[in-house]
Amino acid sequence: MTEPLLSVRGLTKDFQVGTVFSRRRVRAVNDVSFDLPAGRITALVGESGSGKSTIARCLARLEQPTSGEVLLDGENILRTERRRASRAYRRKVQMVFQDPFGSLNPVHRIEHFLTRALVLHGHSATPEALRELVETVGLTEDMLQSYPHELSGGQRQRVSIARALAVQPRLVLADEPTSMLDVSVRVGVLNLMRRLRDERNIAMLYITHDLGSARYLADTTMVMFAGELVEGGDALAVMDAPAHPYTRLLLSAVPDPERAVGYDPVERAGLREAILNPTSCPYGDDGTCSRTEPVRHIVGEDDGQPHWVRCHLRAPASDTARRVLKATDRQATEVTGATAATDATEKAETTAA
Amino acid sequence: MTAIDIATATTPTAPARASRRRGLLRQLVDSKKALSGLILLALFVLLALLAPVLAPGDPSFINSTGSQAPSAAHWLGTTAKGQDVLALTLWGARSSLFVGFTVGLVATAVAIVVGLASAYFGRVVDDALTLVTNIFLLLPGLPLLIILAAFLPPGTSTVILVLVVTGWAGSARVLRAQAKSIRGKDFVAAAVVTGERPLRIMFREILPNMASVVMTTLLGCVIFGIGAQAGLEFLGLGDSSVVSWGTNLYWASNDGALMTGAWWAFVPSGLCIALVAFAIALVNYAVDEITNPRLRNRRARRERRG
Amino acid sequence: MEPVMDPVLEVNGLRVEYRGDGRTVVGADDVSFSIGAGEVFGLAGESGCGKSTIANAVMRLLKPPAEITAGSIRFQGRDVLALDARELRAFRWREIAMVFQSAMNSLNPVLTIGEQIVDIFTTHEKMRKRAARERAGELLQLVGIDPGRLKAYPHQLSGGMRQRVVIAMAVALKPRLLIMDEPTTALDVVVQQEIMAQIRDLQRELGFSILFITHDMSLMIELSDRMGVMYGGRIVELAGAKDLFAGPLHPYTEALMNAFPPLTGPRQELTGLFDAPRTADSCGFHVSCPEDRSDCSMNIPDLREISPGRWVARSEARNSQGASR
Repeated sequence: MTEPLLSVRGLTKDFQVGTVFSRRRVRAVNDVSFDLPAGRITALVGESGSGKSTIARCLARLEQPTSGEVLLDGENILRTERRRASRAYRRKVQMVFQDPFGSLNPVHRIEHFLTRALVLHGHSATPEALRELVETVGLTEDMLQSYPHELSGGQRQRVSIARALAVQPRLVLADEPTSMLDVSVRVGVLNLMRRLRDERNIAMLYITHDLGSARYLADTTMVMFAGELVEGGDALAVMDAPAHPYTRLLLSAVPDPERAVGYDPVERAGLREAILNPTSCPYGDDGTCSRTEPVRHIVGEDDGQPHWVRCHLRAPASDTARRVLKATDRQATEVTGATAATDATEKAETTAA
Repeated sequence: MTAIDIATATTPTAPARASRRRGLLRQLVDSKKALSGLILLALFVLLALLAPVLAPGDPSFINSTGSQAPSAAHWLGTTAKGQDVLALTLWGARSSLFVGFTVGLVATAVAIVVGLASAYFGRVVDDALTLVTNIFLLLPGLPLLIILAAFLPPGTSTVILVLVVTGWAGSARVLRAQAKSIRGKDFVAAAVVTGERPLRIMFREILPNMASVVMTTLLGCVIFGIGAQAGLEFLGLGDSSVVSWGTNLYWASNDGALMTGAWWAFVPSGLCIALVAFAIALVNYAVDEITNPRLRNRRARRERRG
Repeated sequence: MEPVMDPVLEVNGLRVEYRGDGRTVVGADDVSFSIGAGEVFGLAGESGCGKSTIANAVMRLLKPPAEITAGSIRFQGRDVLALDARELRAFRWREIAMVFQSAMNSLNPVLTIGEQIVDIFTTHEKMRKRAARERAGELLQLVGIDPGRLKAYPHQLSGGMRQRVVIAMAVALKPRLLIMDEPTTALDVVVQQEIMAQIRDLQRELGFSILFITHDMSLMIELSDRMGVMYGGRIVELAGAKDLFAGPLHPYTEALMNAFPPLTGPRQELTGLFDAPRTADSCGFHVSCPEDRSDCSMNIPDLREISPGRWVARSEARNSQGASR
């Protein structure tokens, strides 16, 4: 088995929330571990507040993790580049942001973004280079002279992708790249991403809350809930045969006109109970549970890719999980707003480069 | 644009689109307010520059009898000492405008650096700079001015220094707030991820988005510079050998012009200060209107009506 | 227009224009549809297609520069556009209520939700505070929230609960028609399901009609009885939800439906719409229109009834062919 391009081990991120008088620590990401193989698209699926954006920002070195390791080509970059990401890291790992309207500086022309990306990493910004970049993402040369507000949302997102491509990265972190685009435009951007993986062998971490698009695009899918990874495996396997109750809950909630019956409250309540108060291992006796951290149970294998589920018994639901699940209950108790605060502080507390 | 172009009608970027394309300066010239303000300002600058030509010789030269009312020989009369008020006013413009603009520029520059650094680096740097800013804000301005002016050697540079020291903090706070809000935007994070260096991000990514706030801050600082300088000099703390509007007022009050009713000795300089401040305020107001789409609609509707 | 039983709302040939500096943009053009009693009518389309404009027009909430320049809106037979200020006040919230986009973020943060609900009763029905508070409690129970939460402030509730409060406020005066503009867009999928189920329950209990606006086709097809697809300010297809899902006739409808990757079945390559900004020369997606377009170009044709209850904006020549798959 080849070395994965990027390995994350035990990543944890806490945020300080509140005023001087009532500080609270919110754990956005809790002991997360996964591998990103080269040239493959891995989807990270979860609801808002699940911590998935935080992981992307940690990997993009916009946030400093509280603990854990990030291994790029086998080297723990959190130790070798403690304070600031090196240029070499930036050349290998790039990011595309969610908001097409906010991720391009309105005072610059498109040409500026691409030129800077090329020049900073030692490539020359010749007209040919710019044209090639722009055409790769499906735009035309005349758009180079435009300002961001003159382009549509989908075009802006393509520009962001071109900017990421300019440095010739090995990994692109895509944080909900299509969720703010018009519905009919999304597929085009997804197809572009798929093409880039095929033609340029670029690995991608595709973060989304849209299960359908994850299934469409990704090779591997991981499901995140309340700051923890609860399931992972081949994209089709995870969607077609979800093992963790939260994954099943998510899938049952997606509107699907082909489904005869929509909402089944009894089934949903049962799934919630399975997560919050597990009494026994749903996969038989816990003999096949991984004895090491993170605690996982292998439920299947597809083309050498294990389909794993987080053990319920040995790793019970965290406080955050309880809060989130209770909030979706009809007779919900008060939510202290911790998950909402996490989203708010994710942006507010960014470290310097 | 066709029926399909509804998005532009509902989003606020549509007018901003046009304004950014046409450039702030171009739009300033279009606005009536700004145009009148700019013309007035230009007039004063012109008069200041041409003072040696319009009123040759040393303006503080005593060349006539004192306290003469305006006449054909002396259009604005003479001071109690016998100096030509018109010459004093014209030459006074040079110092006042020079000091005013210099203070404005330097104070704004300091405020920009402090604001950007605070916003970009955050945490410790932000806390430290905010503390310094707050200290300077809390210190009472006039007493500080007086103390500094009293201890430092008299001269124009002292006046400029003193005014910059007391004037930068207010602007710094405003600029920091604006810079912070821009710092949190995705395009700054994108620049970081692309590999841009902090200095470049501060001055080429964040600052250009603050153009209108910087402009209004600058204009505000200039008004402060002119007014505070006049105030200092009126109190006798400036360099009284220099001819400026403030010192003109100082001498006028010192020589009892206010009591003898020789209005021509102090009204011209006072009026000049007021007019320059007014001109700058007009330009400031117009800049505000141009950059704030909400104010713009009202203006457009008014212009259409009248 | 169509033979709908007891139409609660009838919109005919509605045209809304936005007057800008020197130019006029048409927000909605020749829009006609009816909503029957107890019916859920969906209006689908992407941003800028005009669906929110229509919703605001029906409530007479359009402000300058927007103007209704043609067409009529009749609510239970009454001409909505002819109502004067006093009648309009009585009309709004009692007869028609609206749940706006991100309404849950527009609750007054300094008042408790109890106070905000009580406000509705004391203002519109001149109720006394005590009676109003009781009614508010009943209302919260109706949407599945414990009445004890009346004392809570909006920020103390989760997004889903706030949305339920907003819905409760909308149905407080038992309107005949409820307009919902993207009610669940800002919510998570799991919460979204709960809210939609809640709305269905409420509708069954109180019997109002719903004008449901969203860009999420799957959600709309699940919930609506009939639906219309809007594009460029015009309705391009109008049919029963199930019929539309089974066989879309307009290329835009097809494109919209194909834009949602399915959750089941084998992985197939989907083609989205060409994402050019729509300009004077191009309607933006004619690249995916397969046949000869000499009669179509950028003028969206009028709706024609293909079969009872099915309307498509196609020109005469193409009607017989139907859509290509």
